[in-house]
Formats: sequence, C-alpha cells, structure tokens
Amino acid sequence: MLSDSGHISRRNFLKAIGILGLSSCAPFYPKTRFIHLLTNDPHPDHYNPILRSLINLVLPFDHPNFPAITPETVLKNIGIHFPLTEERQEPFQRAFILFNDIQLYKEQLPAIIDEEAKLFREFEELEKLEIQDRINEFIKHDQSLFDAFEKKHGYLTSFMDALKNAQSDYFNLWSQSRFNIRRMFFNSAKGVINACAYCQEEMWDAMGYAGHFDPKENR
Amino acid sequence: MRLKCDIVIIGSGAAGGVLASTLAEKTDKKILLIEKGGYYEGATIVQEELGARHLFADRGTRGAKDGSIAVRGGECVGGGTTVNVALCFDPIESVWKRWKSEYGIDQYSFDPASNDYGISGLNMPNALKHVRERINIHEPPDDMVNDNNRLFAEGCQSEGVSHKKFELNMKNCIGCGFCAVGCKYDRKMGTMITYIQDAIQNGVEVVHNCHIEKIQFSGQNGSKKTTGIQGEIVEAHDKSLPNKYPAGPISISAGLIIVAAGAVEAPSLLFRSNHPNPNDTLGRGLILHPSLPIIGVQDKKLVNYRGITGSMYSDHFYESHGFYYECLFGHPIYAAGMVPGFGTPHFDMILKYPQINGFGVMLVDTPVKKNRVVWDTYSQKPEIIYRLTVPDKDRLRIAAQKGVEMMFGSGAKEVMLPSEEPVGPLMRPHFNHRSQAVHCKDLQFRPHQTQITSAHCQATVSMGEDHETGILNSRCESKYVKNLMVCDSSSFPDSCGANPMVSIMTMARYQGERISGELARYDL
Repeated sequence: MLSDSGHISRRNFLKAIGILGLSSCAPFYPKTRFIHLLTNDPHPDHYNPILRSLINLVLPFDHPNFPAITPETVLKNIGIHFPLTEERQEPFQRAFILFNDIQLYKEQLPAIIDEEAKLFREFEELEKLEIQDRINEFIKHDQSLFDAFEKKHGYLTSFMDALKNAQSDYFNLWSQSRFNIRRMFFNSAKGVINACAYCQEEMWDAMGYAGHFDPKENR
Repeated sequence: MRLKCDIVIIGSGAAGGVLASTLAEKTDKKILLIEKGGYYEGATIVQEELGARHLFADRGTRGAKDGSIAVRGGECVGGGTTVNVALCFDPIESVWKRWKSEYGIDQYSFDPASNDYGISGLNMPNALKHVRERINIHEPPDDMVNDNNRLFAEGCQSEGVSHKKFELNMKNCIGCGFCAVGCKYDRKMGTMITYIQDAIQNGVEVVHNCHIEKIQFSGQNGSKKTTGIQGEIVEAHDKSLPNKYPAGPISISAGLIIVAAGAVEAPSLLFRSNHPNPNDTLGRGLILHPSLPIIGVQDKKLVNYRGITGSMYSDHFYESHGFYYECLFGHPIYAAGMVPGFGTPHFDMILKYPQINGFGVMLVDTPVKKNRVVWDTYSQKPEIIYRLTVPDKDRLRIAAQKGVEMMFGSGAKEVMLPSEEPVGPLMRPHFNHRSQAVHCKDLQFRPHQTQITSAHCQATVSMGEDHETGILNSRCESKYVKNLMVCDSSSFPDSCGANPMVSIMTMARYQGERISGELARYDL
C-alpha cells in the first residue's frame, strides 16, 4: 500500500478500503474480478475499446443524416479536451472496465455501497439505520432491473460483445439505477462523448446550426 | 515576489470590480485587484463552447461533489459578469427588509435621502443608480426579441401567466447569441470593460492568474488582525494578457483585505486560512438557485440561438411559490446534454434543433445548514454539498408542470425535460400532449437522472448581526478578524431573491463608499 515515496497515497488507501470491504460479500468469481479491477491500474488498451463501443452506441454513425465524422474523431477530441490518461481520471477508467462486466451489475459491490452510504451521510446527514434501509431498497430495485434485462437478453458477460439492442438496454440500466455512481457514469460518458462530437462543425451543419457569428448576418 | 498596498481585493467579478473602482475613485489609497483566472479581452473570445472552458472555474466542470448539479462560475477578469447572459434585477427591497428583521442586518437603507453610517448620500438607491448607469442597464428594444423569447411570451399569455422584458447590461448588442461564452464585441457591460477600466485609470493594479492560498493573521483569538495574503502567480493562458509579475510565489501585505471571490472560493479561502468558525457556520447555508430547463419542439424553424439569449421572463410565481421562468437557449453541446436518451432517438431530436425553443425554471431555494461548501484537504479543492429539500422539490414539480403547459401553450408539439426519470406511464418526461404535464408530480429530481444547473451561488460567509449563522457583521467585516471583509454573493444571509449580479454590484458600490468614509476604522 505504500507508494514509492513511502507515503500512503489516497489512491492506494481507497484500493485497500475496497479490498477489505470485499472480505465477506459476493460470490467468489465476481469478487475476484472486482478485486482485480480495484488492484490493477487500468490500461488504455483495456478501457479504450469499451469507450469506443460506447461511442458507437451513443452516436448513431449509421443514421442516414449523421455527418461524416468517425469514432476516431470523437476519441481524438476526448484525448484533447478530457484526457482519460490523467491520474484524476482513474476512477473513470476503472468505471469503464466495471461497466463492461455485465454480471457485476447484480452484485452487491462494497465500493459502490460504501460510496452511496457516504453520500447519504455527507449530503443528507442520515443515520446508519436509515442509510441501510435506503441502500437495501436500492439493491432490490437494481436487482429487479437486472432480472428484467436478463430475462429479455439472456446471460451476457461483456458489454463490448453484446448485440446493439442489448448494449442499449444495458446502458439504460445504468441511467435507471438507484445508485448515484452508476447514474453518474451514464451521465458522464454520454456527456463527454456528446461534447466531443457536437464540437465538430460537421455536426453543426447536420443539425442546422450556423456556428460562429458573422456580423454580416445582420446586414 | 513581495508587494505592499493599502487595500487588496481578492476577486474581480461583480463585487471586486466595483469595489476597486469605487475605492480608487473616492480614496488615494494604493489598491491591488487580484484575480485567479486570466485577463481575456473580447477579441480573444472564440464563440465555441469547448473553446471557452478557460473562462470558467474548473474549466467548466465545477459541480456538486457528487456531480449532480453543474455549478457555473466565471474564473477570469470580470468573473461571472464576463460569462453571464446580462440579466439584471435590481435589489429587492422586501428581501433586504426581511434580512433586517431575520438576521439583524443594519443600514442598507432604501430611502434615497438616507445618510447611512452618517456618510452623506450613502444608501442603496444611490448605489444602485451608479451601477445602473455605469453598466447601462436597460430594456432591449422590441426588435431584439428573438423567436425563442417571443414564443415564451406567447406561452405565458396562453396560460394567463404574466411576463416581462428583462433589463440587460448591454450596449449596442449585435445579437450574436454567445453571451454565455464571453462577448467578443465588448457589448456586454461586465466589470471587465466598465468598473475595472475605471479602476485601472485611477491607479488600481490588476494581478491576474494569481491564486491566493492564505490570508495571514496576527494576534490571538479575540484580537486577530490581518497582515497580508500569500499565494502564487501561474503562467497565463496563451489567450490572456500577460501579467506584470512573473510566475511564482507572491506575498502581499495590506492594511485592509476584501475577499470578493464568490460563494465557493470565499469560504474556501477562509477555511484554508483557519479563519475562526466557532459555530460551524462557515460555508453553510449555500444557496444555488437550481434551474431546470424546459424544452419544446415547434413545427417550424425558429431564430433561437441568435439574438439576445434572454429578453423575457416571468416573476408571476415569485411571491406565491418562489420561482421564476427565464427565457434561455443553448448551443449544440449544451443542447446535446439536455436532450434525454442516446443513439438514434437522441440524434433525431437533435436534428430538430432549429425548431426547438427553451426556457428555464429558476428556483429561489430554501436555506438549510447541510447545504454547504467545504474545503477538501486531500484534493485541495472546494467541495459543494447540496441536495434539494423536500419543500423545494415540491415547488420545482409545480414549476415544471406549469412550465410544460406554458410550452404547449407556445405552440410546441412535443415538450421534454432533461431527465431520464420515468414519470407516470412515461419512460421519461417527454410529453406529446398538454394533459400529460400532470406527470411532473412524479419527478424525484434524482442526481444524474434529471439535469439541474446553477450559476448563482450565494450565502456561504453570511452577514448577520444577531443571528448565530452570521460570520460577518452588516459592514461585511469578519466578526473575528479585524480588517478582513468578505463582500460578494457569499455575504448575503440567504437568497437575494433573483439573479444576483446587480444586487452584488449595488452592495459593493455601497460598501466601497462606506469604506471610503470610514478609512480610520481600518487604520488607513
């Protein structure tokens, strides 16, 4: 847990919390995968393909009116405006890998539960028992969403490997989750992808937006 | 780098710019005006959403700690007045009167014949008059009202809701529609091109790209006094004017320190400086004026993103329910963020952009202690902790329902809210008929499911003579540290009741005149 400088970094501290929190929960295999996710630094080769799949889902490149921009253009813009390689983006990098593992959605992952409990404490100043009740309700809600998803699409493991309609329903699950952190991922991923597409003049042309003002317009 | 002055003002926005100008006009003191962001003249503005990120706090990504509410704030010379949409509301007399009765706020007389603190002509109407003239507050002519605003007025009329024209601080606006990313043509009369220019002409020195880390105090509890500030000048962004001083640590000694850094940065600076906080009130009671956009789709093309962004509003429900409707519109990235969903349905809606009209609900939120700004020592950043209260959610539901009905009244064929929340039988609040507006009663305003925005942070270092939450007295002076003032939106005891720019500027003009008449109080 010690960094090279000998100090406990916040990052390592959070990793440790996540691992300790896992000690008595969740079935073995998801637990192992989740520990792996928490303890290994995400590599661009792992999260970029997931991001690329999400770009293909959020933006309808096959739409007849969609302009001639490519996922590469969007990826390039993300690299310029919201570089995922920055250390402060590490939670976002991990979230992509967590997101890709469809079966982890139904697991009671301590890191997510702890984060939600922390929000209840900080934002709403709720007591422990009330927090537990709310979280139990959230777990139930998300499990029922996932059950309905699995009933429709069958047992799926990877977002990247799923068919597009399953990908779409799965991404929607994240927007409908009771857990803030899942909704946050939905919102952030959608927001970043859209920002890095709709900054392109080709998009402006397609949507009928003239862009920069030319004072001659008023003459 | 070590500098010395009589008065240092931290923050160059609505308050800081006016304070600097007023003090320079009325005294012969050496004044420094410090700004964390850069100095971006109109010619550097690029009229692009991503291209304007350097003008904003956290490069436009500032929000509540859980990311649930985007909290816009200008971080550049002129502060919020550089990047707002020029909407002007005079200070509301009934609010200031309530502050007197609830918080014991003294003076701030609304009688134009008053001489507050025994200073000739010191009163709110005189201060307001100066502000109104200097920033050219006026109603726009009818021919500057674009389709988006005209439809808003029609929607109000159809529902029997009164509406008005905004007053704006503009001069010869050419209607480019890019107010919110800074005015390229210097037609918006923010402090950068008005009060700060006056201040510079009267000898004020502006130090920008300068982050103030701490205020230094001498003495013990009960007799603490400011001695100066310390911070760091950073390299200027390539679009900024260059700084007179090189990048590196800076220390400034000053007789009087005035913090005017806004309701997020001001409490943060006080926390970092270990300012006394005996009642745990510093940073608490944060007001955000949460805003909820309402989006309509008309059956014809409109002039929506060109022209004056906001020229119409309604205060019909202000007295009864505490909210406004304000006409606003967004450029493509904002629009793509507000339209719910993704993929083909989302893009199909974006293709209707030329037919879209919009306005927003602005809620005057209830002050509660748990909504607050804190300083996070790990990340070395301010954290905004905010949740809508239950009564505020109730009012926002009423506002949303009425707003949807008004949007249909304007002729919209579809109306939506920026939300992924299921309401009634609907997967999302996306309505095809006026009668469906009733489903707004199911909105929960869950973070990251319904998009709420804010640009009006207030009340985190509040005044209050006989109220336990008051960190400041009515002169905006710290009750615990001599010669330290906080004078900006954070000084308000709670919401000023409307878009705050003119209230802030009026208070700053008033306080600038008061300080000038009471220099001996600060050993100046």
